[in-house]
Amino acid sequence: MNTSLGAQAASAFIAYREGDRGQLRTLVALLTPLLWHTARSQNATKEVAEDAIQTAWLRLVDAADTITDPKGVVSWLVITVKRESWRLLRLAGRDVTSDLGVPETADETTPEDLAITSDQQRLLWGHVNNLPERCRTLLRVIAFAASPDYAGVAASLGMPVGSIGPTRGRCLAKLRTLLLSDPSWEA
Amino acid sequence: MAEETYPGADAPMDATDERILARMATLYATVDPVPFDLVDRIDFALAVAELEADIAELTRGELVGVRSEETDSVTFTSGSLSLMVTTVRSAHHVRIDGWVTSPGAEVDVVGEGITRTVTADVTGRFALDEIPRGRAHFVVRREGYRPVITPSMEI
Repeated sequence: MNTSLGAQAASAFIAYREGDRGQLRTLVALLTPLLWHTARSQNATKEVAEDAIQTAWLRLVDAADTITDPKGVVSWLVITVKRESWRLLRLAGRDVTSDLGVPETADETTPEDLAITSDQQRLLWGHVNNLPERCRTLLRVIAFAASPDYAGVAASLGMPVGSIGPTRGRCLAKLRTLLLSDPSWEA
Repeated sequence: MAEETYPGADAPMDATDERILARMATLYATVDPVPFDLVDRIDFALAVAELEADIAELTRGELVGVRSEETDSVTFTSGSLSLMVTTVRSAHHVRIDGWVTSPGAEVDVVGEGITRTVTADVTGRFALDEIPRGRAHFVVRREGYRPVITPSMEI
């Protein structure tokens, strides 16, 4: 588990390109959670998220030989999922740029509030929702990467490079301050 | 901008930051989980694309569900081709007895991390032993036809 997501993905991708077709399944299993939350952080509905992710994988198979740096495969997929989500949302006539106060991740049938069962999660959820939307988007996605990959994933999302990575960055600093000043938070 | 100079933003990440992010991942996995079959469906779409295959439809039986019985039988159909698969389960493995309407066809069983290939005999029968339990799909190859791929099923 010490190997970062990016490094694991790169080695699976290299093996796949060298003819080990089964490594593509390894890559899919490894990166689907990150890609799901990438799409969902862009306000994609569940259907749009699924389509965008599936399309990104199909494109990867087509474009596999054109990706010069295997370490870039995570970024390539994040960018493709983000763009494809936006394209599909535009097609569906949704305004993706609207700054909604509440994350549009709410599922009609299973509201998040019902899914959360622990007080600590509810507390975290409350503080996360008090962050600016931009920060929610960024932190939601990088939470599914490992620390060596933050900078690359953040850059792929179009967030300023260097705002996160070796340093904490504004968004995580804000959330950290909120949590650490909350007496109910069990760090 | 005030945001640029947010206190602590330039500090290096520490164990507390890592813990916060780990808890965020758990939180989002709880409130908005990845659909349980999404990985399977992506694998399937990729397999179809790679093989340029025709997709067989399930015409009898069930692909998922609680497998309480030891044996189970499903039938897939694509055009003139039919594939009948009977699975017999033991603790960790599955034996597959199949029949395909194309004698001599090659049949792949693609399971989790393994692919096994067998050739159907002159009556279209084939058998595979010691297949690990889990999800699997089948690919049938015949001379002069596109490969046929089945949806994945729980074996």
